[in-house]
Amino acid sequence: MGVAIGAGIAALAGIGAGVGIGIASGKAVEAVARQPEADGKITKLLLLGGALAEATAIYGFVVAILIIMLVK
Amino acid sequence: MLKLDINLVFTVINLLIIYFIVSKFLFQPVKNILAKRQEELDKQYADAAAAKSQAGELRQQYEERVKGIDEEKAAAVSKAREKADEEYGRIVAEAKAEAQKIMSDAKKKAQGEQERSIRQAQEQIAGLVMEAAARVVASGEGQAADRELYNQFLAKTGEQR
Amino acid sequence: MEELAGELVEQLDCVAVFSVNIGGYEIPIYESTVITWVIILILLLLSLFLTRNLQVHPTGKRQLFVEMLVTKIEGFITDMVGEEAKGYVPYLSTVLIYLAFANLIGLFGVKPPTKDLNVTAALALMSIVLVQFASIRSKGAGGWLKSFKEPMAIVTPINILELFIKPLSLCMRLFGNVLGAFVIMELIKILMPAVAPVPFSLYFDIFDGLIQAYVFVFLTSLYIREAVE
Repeated sequence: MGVAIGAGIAALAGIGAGVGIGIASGKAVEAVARQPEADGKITKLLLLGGALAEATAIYGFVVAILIIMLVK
Repeated sequence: MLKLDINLVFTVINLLIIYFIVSKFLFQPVKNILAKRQEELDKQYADAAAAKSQAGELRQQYEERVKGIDEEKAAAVSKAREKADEEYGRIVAEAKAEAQKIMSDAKKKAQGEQERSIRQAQEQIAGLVMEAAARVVASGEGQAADRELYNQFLAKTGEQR
Repeated sequence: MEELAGELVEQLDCVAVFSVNIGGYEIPIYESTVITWVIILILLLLSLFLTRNLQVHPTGKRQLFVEMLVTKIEGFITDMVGEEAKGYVPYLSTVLIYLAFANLIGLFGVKPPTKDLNVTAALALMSIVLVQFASIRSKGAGGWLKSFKEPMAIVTPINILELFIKPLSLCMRLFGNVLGAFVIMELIKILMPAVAPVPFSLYFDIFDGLIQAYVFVFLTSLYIREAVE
């Protein structure tokens, strides 16, 4: 039971990543609206930023898995 | 899933093999062929440039030759004109000389003819006179008169001459 | 519920396909290694097929395709890593191609090798070794050591820490992404085996897999660029 709760808490790291990616996407939309010709560059940067921000959520996920696997 | 062991080393080796394969069998041949094509392209460009410059040279040569031909032509024309002038002058002079000669010949001939006719006339006159004298003599006057007459006649003709 | 968890754990586990006995030690060969061998074989055959009788004046679509592929990959990575570090382009292309294959092979019902921590750890390790090597080569050993106390001497411990954090982050990002995608895909497959997995597979296997390959190569080339400048 405790293990499951720990894993769930670790998975809360996903919140930060969600907020971060949301902000990044919003800003990217703004940027494209302001400068539609820089579309390709902005998309590239957004994908990269998304991947980097996502890493936090992934760490949370990995930690959750570790807790489930290692703590018996 | 979450343990690190000897398989990590295997993965490193595998990656190195993939690196070798990708660079040796995929990148190298394609790059070689691209380099070859680039080389050929460069060569073609160089060839085209060389051909162009050669063509320019040929053109220049041709133009020079055409110019030379023009000059030659002008020279030939002027030479021919000179020669023709000369010829013309010579012919005219010759014709003049000929004409003069003919004229003088004709004059000479006319003079000779005149002299001859004069002489002929004189001879005829002399003959006539002689005949007349003979006829006078034959008509019978004295020998002395004869002589006198004769001498007179001779003297007359001699004076005349 | 218990049954589902058991199935999931079974799917997640990296199975030792066979083991070799060398000098009394049992050396297990994992599925990931075997699949990597398969990828090597595929790559070898594909390379040989694509580059068979290349001509200076291309006639076939095959040659046009392989030329486009090679020049695209090269230009793409050279853009990221910079002109000064051009010598590292082949390695980065190799990693990109391998990761793309490894992440996409999940489509064929095989466990992607990047789901095994050994593989991602090896990739991250090689990346960080390459970064340090590039740094040493461009700055010299003294310059490399000096680069640790930049921009200030006080951040030296953080810089040294970064030496471990960078590969760990690279490794865990790739591993976690692929594992997460795999877990979600397995869950979807267990819950709705018929139609539902298709669009999710499109996202998790193809899009996410390629994005992760791109991100891994991008970050490695970023580090190399930083090290070379």
